[in-house]
Amino acid sequence: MSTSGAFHSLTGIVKSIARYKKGMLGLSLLLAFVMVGVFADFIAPHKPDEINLAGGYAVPSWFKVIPQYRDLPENIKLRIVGSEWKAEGDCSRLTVLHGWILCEFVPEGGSQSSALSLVYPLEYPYSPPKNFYGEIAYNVTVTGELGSTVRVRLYIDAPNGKSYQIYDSGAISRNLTRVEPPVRFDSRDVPLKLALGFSPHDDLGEKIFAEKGLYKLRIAVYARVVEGSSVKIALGPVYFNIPGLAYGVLGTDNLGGDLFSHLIHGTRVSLIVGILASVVSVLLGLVVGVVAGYKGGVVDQVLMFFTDTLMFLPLIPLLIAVSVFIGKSLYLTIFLIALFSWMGFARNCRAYVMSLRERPFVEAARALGASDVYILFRHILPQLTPVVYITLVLNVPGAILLESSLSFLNLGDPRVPSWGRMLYNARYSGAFSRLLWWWIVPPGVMITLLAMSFVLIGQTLDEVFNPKLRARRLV
Amino acid sequence: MAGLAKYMAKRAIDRVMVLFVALVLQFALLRVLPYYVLGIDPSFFFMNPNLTNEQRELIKKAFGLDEPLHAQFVKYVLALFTGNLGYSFYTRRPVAAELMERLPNTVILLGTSTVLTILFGLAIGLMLAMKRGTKIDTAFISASVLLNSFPTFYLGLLLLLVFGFYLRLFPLAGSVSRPPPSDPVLYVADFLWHMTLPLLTLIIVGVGGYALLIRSLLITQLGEDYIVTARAKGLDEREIIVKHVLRNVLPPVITIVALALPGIVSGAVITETIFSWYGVGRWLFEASTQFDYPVVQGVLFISILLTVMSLYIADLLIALADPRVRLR
Amino acid sequence: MSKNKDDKKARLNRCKSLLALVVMFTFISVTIVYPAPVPPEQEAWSWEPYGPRVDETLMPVILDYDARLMAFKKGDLDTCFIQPARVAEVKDDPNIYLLTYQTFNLQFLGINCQQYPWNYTAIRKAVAHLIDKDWIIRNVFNGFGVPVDSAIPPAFGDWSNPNVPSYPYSRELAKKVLLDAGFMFDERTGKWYEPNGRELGKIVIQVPPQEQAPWLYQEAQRIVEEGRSIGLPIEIEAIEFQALVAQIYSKTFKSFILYLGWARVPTLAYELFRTGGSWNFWGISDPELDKLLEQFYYTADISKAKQALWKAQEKVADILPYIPIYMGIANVGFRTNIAGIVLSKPVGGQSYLTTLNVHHTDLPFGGAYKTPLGSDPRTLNPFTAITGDEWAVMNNILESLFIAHPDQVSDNLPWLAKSWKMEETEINGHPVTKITFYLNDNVTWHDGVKFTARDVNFTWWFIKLNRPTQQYAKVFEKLIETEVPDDYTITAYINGTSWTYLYDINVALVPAHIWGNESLLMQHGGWEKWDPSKVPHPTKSGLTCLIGTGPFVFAERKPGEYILLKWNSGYWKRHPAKTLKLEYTLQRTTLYEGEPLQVAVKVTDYTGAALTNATVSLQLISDGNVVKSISAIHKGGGIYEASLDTAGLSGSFKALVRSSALIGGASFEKEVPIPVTIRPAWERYLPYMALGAIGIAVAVIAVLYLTRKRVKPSG
Repeated sequence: MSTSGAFHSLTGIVKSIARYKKGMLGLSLLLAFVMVGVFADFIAPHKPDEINLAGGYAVPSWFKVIPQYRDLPENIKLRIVGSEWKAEGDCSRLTVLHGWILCEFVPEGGSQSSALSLVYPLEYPYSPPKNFYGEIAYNVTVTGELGSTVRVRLYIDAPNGKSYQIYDSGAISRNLTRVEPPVRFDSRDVPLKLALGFSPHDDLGEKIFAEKGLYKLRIAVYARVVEGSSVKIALGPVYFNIPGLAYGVLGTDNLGGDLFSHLIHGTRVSLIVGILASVVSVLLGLVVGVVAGYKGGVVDQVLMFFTDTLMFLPLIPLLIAVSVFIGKSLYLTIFLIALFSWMGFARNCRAYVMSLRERPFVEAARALGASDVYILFRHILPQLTPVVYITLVLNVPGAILLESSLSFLNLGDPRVPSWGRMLYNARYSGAFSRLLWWWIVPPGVMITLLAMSFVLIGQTLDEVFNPKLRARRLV
Repeated sequence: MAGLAKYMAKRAIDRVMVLFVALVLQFALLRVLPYYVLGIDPSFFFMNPNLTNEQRELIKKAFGLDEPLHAQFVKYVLALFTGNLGYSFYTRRPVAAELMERLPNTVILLGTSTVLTILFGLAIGLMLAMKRGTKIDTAFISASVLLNSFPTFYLGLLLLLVFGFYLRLFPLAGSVSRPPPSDPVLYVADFLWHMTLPLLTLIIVGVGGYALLIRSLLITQLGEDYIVTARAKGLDEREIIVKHVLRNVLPPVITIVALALPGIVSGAVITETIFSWYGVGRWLFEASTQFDYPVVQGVLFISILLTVMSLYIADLLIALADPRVRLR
Repeated sequence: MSKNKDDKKARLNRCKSLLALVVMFTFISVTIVYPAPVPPEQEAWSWEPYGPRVDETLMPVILDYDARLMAFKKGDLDTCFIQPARVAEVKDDPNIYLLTYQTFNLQFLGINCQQYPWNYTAIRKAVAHLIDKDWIIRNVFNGFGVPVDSAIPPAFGDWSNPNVPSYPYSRELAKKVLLDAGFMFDERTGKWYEPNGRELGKIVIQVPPQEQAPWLYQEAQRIVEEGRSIGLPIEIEAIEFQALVAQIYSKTFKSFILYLGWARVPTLAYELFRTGGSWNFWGISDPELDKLLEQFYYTADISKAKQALWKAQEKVADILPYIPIYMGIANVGFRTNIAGIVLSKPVGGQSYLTTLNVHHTDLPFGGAYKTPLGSDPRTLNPFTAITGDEWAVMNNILESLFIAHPDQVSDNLPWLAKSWKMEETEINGHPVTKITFYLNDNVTWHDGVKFTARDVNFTWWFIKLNRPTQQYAKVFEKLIETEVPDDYTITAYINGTSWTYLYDINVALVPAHIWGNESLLMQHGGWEKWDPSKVPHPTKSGLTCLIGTGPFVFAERKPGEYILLKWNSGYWKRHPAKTLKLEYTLQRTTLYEGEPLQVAVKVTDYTGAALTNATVSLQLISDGNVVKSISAIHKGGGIYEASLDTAGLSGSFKALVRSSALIGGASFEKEVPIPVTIRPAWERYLPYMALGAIGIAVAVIAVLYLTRKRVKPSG
């Protein structure tokens, strides 16, 4: 075995791989994946577990260049503070402070009913959305005589003149704070749908924002104040959101999570699993193979017997059972994958070590009284380097594919965003019947590309180390 | 002949030992580890809180769970010899009876796919070997990179998406229509229609590997001296391959096929799950999530047994085809 | 179709007025009860206690939800559960209508009150404040859920106490609860400390992993986020469902989010919260609560039981061993040609009577109802079956003594029992409840054997002795003895007094001649190990051992694919209109003696298909005696003709067209009476005679006239 010294340094190996077209392709692919994995937090716009970033099942935002998707709504997120409201009405004292609107109703002789109306114009330029939701915070202070009431209502006025009451506080006759937590309204509430005369199955967003145009958000405060008392109301910023139906690079999942972020974060998991599992399995295989091959005899027979036995076990069924019964964690998965994938390498190693053992330089060392450990580390292991490198690389794709299969069966770690889990989610959230190919295709392509990069590098390494093989292939 | 008998007897002992060790390993992984590491007592999985303590003890006793683990293992292995795979925790029915309900579907699917895969693999491998060095050959070899990096389940999903959901050419789930046609011919047609997609998945996944393997085996053989001689005799290339090469290629192919069996079982789990195929693979998956130990153990045992048996048959076939191995 | 739309509008308007009230209610209180909606075709549909209207119930097993929904949209299924997120896909389909109703499934956070740190009441209360029920219902269930505060959910009507102390979502309140209880928060480290100064340990919420229930995981995630925002060391632990259940049963769990499926009366409360109760996984023990629960359980007076339960709920809300989250609202889709769905009022849910009433609008009788199963029933043994799908099959086959009344779900509708009475007596000085059931005497098992009190007696003792994991209840432990004075009366004596005995003893009844057949059972592994649906019936071919008294007979099964049930033509409540149809044509209803009575009869089955294998006869009956009878001859196309000679007969008769035929192996009979009058033969000549008489009269008159002229000249 005449391995040149260059192969013992990583840069040397990389350089020699890069000489091949195939190797170059594999390396650059791998580099790209590694970069994505390392900088996932910067590349991905969101954390993988963030949800409600947009509406559920949103299409990718670049779809908007296609005419039929042009008008799809994008996220509208409003925080409407005091000065942005246009106030009308007969409020005794109206002030705006830190974004809050403070209003005091004091009767000018006798009981008195008064109303305050705050209007915010909202230009809606898209096709109908599915939902909307928001928050409104207020604080009511009633002083003096009993009997005064105040009532807060929130309306959406549509351009066609229809007006929808989204929230009604009911009559408030005593001090009340709805600041922490604030009042929340949501178009998905069934009682709200029914109150507005729609069926529980209708999407309110679709019904209310049915056309493009100028809508108005309107807060109406009605007060009935008896003599000798006053009512103060403080209205905080109003949040109003319309989740978009076109979002991000790859759209959103059923919960409004960013699929692109899932995809990017999945890279890291696959890389870690692939590389770690491969390293562990190669180490296991190396130890078993070298010991068996070097020691020979009974040790060899026993070890090889176990190796064969493990080889006959059906891998995936066993992995399923074990991961269900023992638990689901990323590192356990890695360990299990490694545990069941070292056997082939151990056999190769053993055969190789056996042949090396008979070589003159080993015999010579032994004759000189060198210890087994010395011979192993000085003479045998260095000879194994190329095989180790090749196996290290070629074991990665198997581990990656296995991990994605397990995650697809949802036997992976549920806390870890992996590509297999993305496909699992797609399968069980209706991505298939909705034909959301932008959810289904990318994870598979990523798995394939990543695995492929290792296959390419492995094959190149093979050719670098075993030039004969190349020649033989082309016979 | 005596040599063959002796050789086969030796192999038989080997294989039985493998089976036994696999059993031990399986038991350790599924029963001992969860029990000692996580403290999961399987008897809790099928207990109803309405039961009294004596009732619990009775149930434990019925399933042999009241004894220490090593005694349970001995009992388990002894029962296996009498063909008793135990009783499902979940349905309380014999595992063997439940298995027989699901086995036909799996055997049909896997049998067909294995046979077809080998046939196609052989055909493509032959073709590539004969056309070695041509564009088709190199294209196929480059494509094999892709094949090696393509997840099985993803192929199934893509087929399902394209042919099931987009084109609506094939059914989405199950192995027959509900209710199935009563006419036997139509029934078979209906069954085949349902089997198409899972079958296609299994074949596409398997065929590339076989083709490449057979190609490389053939090419190695084609370089041997006797071929050169044959060629010199003026024999047709086709004739050479069929008459001489295939015979020598057979033993390694048999071994590879036999060794691939556990992999087929694994493939069945995913394919059956994706296509809701009522078979052993899906059952194993379901039983695992239901913690139905006897079922999981039973299925694993059967699949290991099948593998070991097929390896033994492979041993026999190889020994018959190539008398030299008996001397090893 | 336009009619449907109008109907929908009308329905909507009615809903509006009803719901204005409901909505106001929401903003004041937190409980909402949705009225059971009425599907458009059912506007005029009132349930009948007869059936089944369809001939077959086909239950395809479709594991994959996508495939199930696609099959439903295509029309291969008649009904399908619609997941909240998928409502939008079907709501505008003109061939589909949706029924939305509240279920009896309560989702809750169950807590092991023995485990640190959950053993602090303040921790439980703080976490209760951190559960954002509205968020969960909106984001996880698209709004289809009702937030619940009381231990007994509002779906139980007046069993549920609407005024229990609630724990509104608020981080501030959560903090306050902890601080009030002596916990300390260190702003600097952002950590909580126990009143004794130790750092607060991990608070763990266990949920099944995503493949089993992704929504539970999301909910737990949300609770954890909330907890972290106020610095609580709270964590999720994903644990396989079965393993979690095992931990719950062995009381080694920490806390979990799961569902509790309640029966229609909340008897379970007694076991859930009592010291040492069999469902008291939380390990709570409160003497005051125990006393209330005893009062609730051991009384014959339901109003007293309710009172005690109201107080118990307040106590439970204070101890907080479990935090109720929400009750599900289910959307179930039906094809528009399906009618006869019976919903239980007031909250909804499909009544047992649906199995009898469901049919196609264009086919009042006959046809097949196709309803999917989401999992393959692994065993159809009523004493070991667990899953809802397994019971969905068996509910068509097995019946019980009484069922829930669809008009008021808490009331009982007598079924196999005509009536019953509950009395309090004493045996040896101990209070004993005596329940006597009077059974219907026209009920048979699917194999034709009469159903008697001995079957009931057998089932009860079978459960008492074998203690099957399913169907076993406290009442069987307390059952002292039974008496069967005659075939249709059975009396049970049960230790103690409790209104719940009646409900608990009402189990699915099995035939004594099958389940009591020791050798048959032993041959197939004993009662626990056999699946009766897989064992052929010992005497009747074509049947399995899974027989009952129910409207459907277990007919065919392809494991993993489908289950086919055929209607029980000998059902004791068979629909009277589900029989042959006879249309006759008769030339005349009045004829003369000697003329043939000719009748053509068209015989069709209940679906309108002509029957060619019928036996049709024509009988002439006078004063209840058959005077003459003849059988009709098939002329093709289901038309039968008979011609009856009437020689020697006269008077008023009843002609009876009798027809019997086999449809799908079951024999049917139908008869139609036709009043017929036969006159004596001479009457046929009456007109001629009259004519003759007139002729003679005319002749006489003419003669008279003529002779008178002759007389005049002479006169």
